[in-house]
Amino acid sequence: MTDVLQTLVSGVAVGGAYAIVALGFVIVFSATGILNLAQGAFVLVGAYLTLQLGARWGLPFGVALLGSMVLCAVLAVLVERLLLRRLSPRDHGAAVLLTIGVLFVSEAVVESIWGVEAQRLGDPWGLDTVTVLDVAVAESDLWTCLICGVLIVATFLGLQRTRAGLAVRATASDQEAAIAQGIDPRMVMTMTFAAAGAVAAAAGTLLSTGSIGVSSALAATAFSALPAMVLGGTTSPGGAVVGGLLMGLVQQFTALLVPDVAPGLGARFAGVTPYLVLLLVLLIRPQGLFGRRAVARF
Amino acid sequence: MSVAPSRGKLHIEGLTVAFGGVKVLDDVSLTADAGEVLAIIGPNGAGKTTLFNTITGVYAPQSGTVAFDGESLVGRRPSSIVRLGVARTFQNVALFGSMSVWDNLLVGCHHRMRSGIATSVFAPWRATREDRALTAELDELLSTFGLDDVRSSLVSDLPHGINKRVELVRAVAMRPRLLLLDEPTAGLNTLETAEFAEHLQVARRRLDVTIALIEHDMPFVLSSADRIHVLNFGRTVTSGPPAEVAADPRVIEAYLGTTEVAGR
Repeated sequence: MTDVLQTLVSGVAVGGAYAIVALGFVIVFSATGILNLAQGAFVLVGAYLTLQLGARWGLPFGVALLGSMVLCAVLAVLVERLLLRRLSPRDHGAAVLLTIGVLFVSEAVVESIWGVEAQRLGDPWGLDTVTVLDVAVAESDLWTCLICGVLIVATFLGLQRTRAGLAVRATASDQEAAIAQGIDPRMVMTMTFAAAGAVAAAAGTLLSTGSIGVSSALAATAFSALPAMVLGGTTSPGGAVVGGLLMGLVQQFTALLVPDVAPGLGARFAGVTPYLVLLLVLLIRPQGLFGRRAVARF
Repeated sequence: MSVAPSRGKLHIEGLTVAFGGVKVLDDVSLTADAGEVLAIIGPNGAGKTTLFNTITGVYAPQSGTVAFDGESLVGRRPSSIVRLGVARTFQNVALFGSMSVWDNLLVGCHHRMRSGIATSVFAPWRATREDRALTAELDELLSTFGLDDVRSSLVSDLPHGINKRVELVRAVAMRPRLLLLDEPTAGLNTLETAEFAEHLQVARRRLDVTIALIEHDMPFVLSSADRIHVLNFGRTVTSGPPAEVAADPRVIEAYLGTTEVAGR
């Protein structure tokens, strides 16, 4: 029972981080048609920037986190302005390859600046626990849940209630019509990249809190958000959140159960589960939980 | 006439648009005066929609000028042309299917909305005041055009006839001074077409607007247009008042087919 509650909380925490990364994927993808794999780079760089601003330069953790989000938003906009904008707007294949390139470069750059060893992030929670219903729960997990929740709500409010969000939704729905209403698709692209960069930095930081620490393996961890995006349906923000949470829970419960149920699978089997779920989704319900079946009319 | 003679006037001179070696528009000149309804007719492939796409900045012409209000539109970005007061509807209804009727109209107001994210966060009262003004305006538009019942419906769930009207109202919400309607009655039955013509009259009365419309439905064109411009294979065939154009043998040959259709 203790295990179940602990795993539930850590599953929601990890899943919440996946959810905001997946939200970044979905928003960029639905508004621009680009599968932005550089999202993994912003997750990675975001965590290290928080480390640099907080643990190294002594800023309070909250300030370091916010600073990292702002810097990653700027970085994402630079990638979009300086690199992606040079490609043909119709050639999304080239854009995806370019974002993979950005991801690889970022890993090399991060390792050369901060080294390959895993480091303590320097978050205020460390290994502290709080007791909920007689069960010790990691404080970092609770804070991760809370911050992810706030970011998810903020993203949805931004999409539903602001002029910028209206422009993003309109562009995602029908770009030609959006242009005819005076919406500049390049502005929308910039806004979606900035938002995706900011939430990726937050996710990277939160995934490195507690006992885990920062390491360059984070970029690969962030890729678990990709199956989350497909699970939810590639163009559904709500689906991304549900998909992310499910992935986190599946992963954490697998990690809990594998040693007892099927020790032969090995301790790191949990890391593979998002991709197994992805395969199942693609076989059974390729449009995802909340996606619409793609229909093309000519 | 001496005061700003170009106000509200669409003026196109020697417009040529080519894709590869194919001239889709070849030296087309036309004018729509302020407050006028100009119908552009011609068989499929005559270049009518290309003409609209060039006016709205989607295509760049090889040569020629497009001016509205005395301002050249050539070389401007589509979003900047919208800000000059140019709105359009599409042949195959380009609404935002995954959004409600209300949100579709709100997007129509997008270019007039001032408060960005920063305002919503740092000066929410100002954003709220703008919200209230917009809400009142959209409420009034919905009731004027009989869309009250469907305000919260998703556009993709509504019938074609309603959606044609929603698209018109979205364009009205943009407060345009030049309105381009691409086959507004395509796919509508006789009753719906008559309704649409009424709504178009309401829209004209509300707005100080010049209208150019592409249309195949001749009775609709003859009843609603002040002047007709005929295109065929990218060239101007003729231009003039409806009665004159409908009787022109070249038009009948190029487009109408039989005199019976024209006179109906």
